[in-house]
Amino acid sequence: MVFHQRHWIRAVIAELIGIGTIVLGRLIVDDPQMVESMARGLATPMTWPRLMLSGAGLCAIGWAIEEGWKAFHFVQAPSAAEEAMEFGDVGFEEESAAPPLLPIALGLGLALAYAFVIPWLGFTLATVIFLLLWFLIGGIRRPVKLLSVTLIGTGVLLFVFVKVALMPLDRGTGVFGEFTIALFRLLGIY
Amino acid sequence: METLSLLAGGMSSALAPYHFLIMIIGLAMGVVAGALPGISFVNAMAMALPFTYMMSPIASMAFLGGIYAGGVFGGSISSILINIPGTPASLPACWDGYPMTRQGKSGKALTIAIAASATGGIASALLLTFAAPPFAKFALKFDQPEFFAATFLGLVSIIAVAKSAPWISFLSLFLGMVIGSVGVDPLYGVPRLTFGIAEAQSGINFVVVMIGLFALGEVVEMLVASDGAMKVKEHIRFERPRFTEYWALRGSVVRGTAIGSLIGMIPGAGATVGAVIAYGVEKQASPRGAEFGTGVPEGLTAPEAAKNATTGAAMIPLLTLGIPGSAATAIMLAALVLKGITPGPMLFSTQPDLVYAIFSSMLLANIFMIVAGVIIARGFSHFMKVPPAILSGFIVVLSVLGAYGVRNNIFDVYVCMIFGVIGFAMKRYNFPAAPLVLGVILGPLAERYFLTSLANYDNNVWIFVERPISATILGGALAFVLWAMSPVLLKRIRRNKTAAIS
Repeated sequence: MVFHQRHWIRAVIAELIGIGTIVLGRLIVDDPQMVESMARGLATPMTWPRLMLSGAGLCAIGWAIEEGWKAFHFVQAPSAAEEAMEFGDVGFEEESAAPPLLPIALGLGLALAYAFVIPWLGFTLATVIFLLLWFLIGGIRRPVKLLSVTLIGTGVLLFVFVKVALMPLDRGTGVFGEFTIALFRLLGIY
Repeated sequence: METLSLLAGGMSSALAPYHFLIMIIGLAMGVVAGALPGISFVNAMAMALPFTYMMSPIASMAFLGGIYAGGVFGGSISSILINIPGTPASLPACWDGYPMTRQGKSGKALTIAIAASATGGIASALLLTFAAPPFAKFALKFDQPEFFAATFLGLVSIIAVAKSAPWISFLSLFLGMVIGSVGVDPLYGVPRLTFGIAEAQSGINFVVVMIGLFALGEVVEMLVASDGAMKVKEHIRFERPRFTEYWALRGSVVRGTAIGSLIGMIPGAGATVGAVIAYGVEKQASPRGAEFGTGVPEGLTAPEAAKNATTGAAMIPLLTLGIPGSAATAIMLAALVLKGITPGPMLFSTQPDLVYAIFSSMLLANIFMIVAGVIIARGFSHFMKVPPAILSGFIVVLSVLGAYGVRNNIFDVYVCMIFGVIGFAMKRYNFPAAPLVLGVILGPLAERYFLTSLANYDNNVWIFVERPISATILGGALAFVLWAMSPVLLKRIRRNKTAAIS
């Protein structure tokens, strides 16, 4: 039962992608009529994306039919290991133990949040907070290890990228920006 | 003669203390990254990209070339010692390398792997040195239709990677090309698929997509790994290689090197395809083919030689045509482009010193890989003790820095993180990421060459088959698709025949 259910899920995903390509095909540019009128030959600015979206749509239909056929004929879905080998991927050794979803979701959420708070908190503060939380989720609990790895690691990165590579990393806004500048002065990298 | 004098100049540049040191550091990083399961050498190259911003073009290419050569080999260390391939290309090393470890011959297996990889890599670097300049001269005859045909060959070569799942692979490729078409179009300057986001008008950079998919997508699972759990039980002692023993494997080395060099030149194929094909061919060619999988040295030698033989060969299309054939060479392209250098046939006449310094660095990297491989394989058990949470945390931070550094733009960081989540989902649900990346890299090139071909040749769509070189390349692409699909098609025909008879 589980096997053909997997095929059904894939068929639904393929159909959703197919619908997505149709929707995107209508939203390539803001004013399609004006853009069409610009064409000086066979190709307009929309030609290539339309071709690619059509290709993607066709492949999505093909994939949906293939998965639907397999689901209908109760073909056993390949295991994660078999599929990984098929695509030349690694990690198929760990097939038996699927990683728990909650810490992974937390990790992904944390990584996304890290990126999105950088403009406000600045790279330095955001990195320190991110690393502390990441290590905690990863099971590192000893305070000395936690703090030393976080602070030394961030310090080394700041030195390399701000002092040596002169990368204009975000310093943050308002009080966070002032804090970053004060810290950079203290570290001698401003 | 001219080539040799240019090579001597390149060698002296590559051997300059700073460049040499950078190359050795890259080599060590590559071997370590390749050996650690979960971090591929492509991840390491993506992580290393921001460090190249502060380097000269020669130093940055020596650094990335070192990581590339070292990383392709490094994956075999974990394959042989703990049966977990550090990189996808090292998968065949598990099949005969790990059985050798179980027989107490880990030192011998590693010695064979290092020697075969170095031989394949050196041969490939020599091929790059002596074949690339005449090919670049030939490529000067290329116009837009030929470049389009070459890019098209790169795109269809994805069929070799996933011929058993063509729909999903081509879907991934087309989606990659859709992502690649985001931004201002190359002919009219009209923004496409930007949805009013101003930053999106400059397009989605392929480096940012690669960092997200490969680095972030891979590391999240490391967060929940219990510890460095994979312990190397055996103390590794390197047996001094007996020349007669290695000489007996010369056939496997030659076959593997030839296959790797050939496959490496095809855009999109890369080390994984080269190693797997070399293993299959060796199984047919070797008198001990039936014993493969039980710890046969030939089964380890051929794929090892093949995968490193792809490294130099993969740089031929990159340097001569400006077409990166793999994720690794795409990162090298990014490093060059960020320094204002555009690879292509003209590079050989405008900057021969840089080109030959790159050749020399690749040659040196493959020679010194022997030393780096031995040292790092000996210390492998120590690297495995670094908690995965610490490793993965810093990879995320370096990913952010890498994405930001491409254009000093926070929008790229957001895009990178979103692709990180997408990459994780793709990995989890076995949606192939490699074709998508290839689409993002080659899609914009294909579009530009396609549109400019039409514009330059009076909108004649037949121009691609009217010009002899372009038609030959397109014919080659068709032949390649038929060759790649032939086992699947033959299988279906046989099945249908059997069904009809029964």
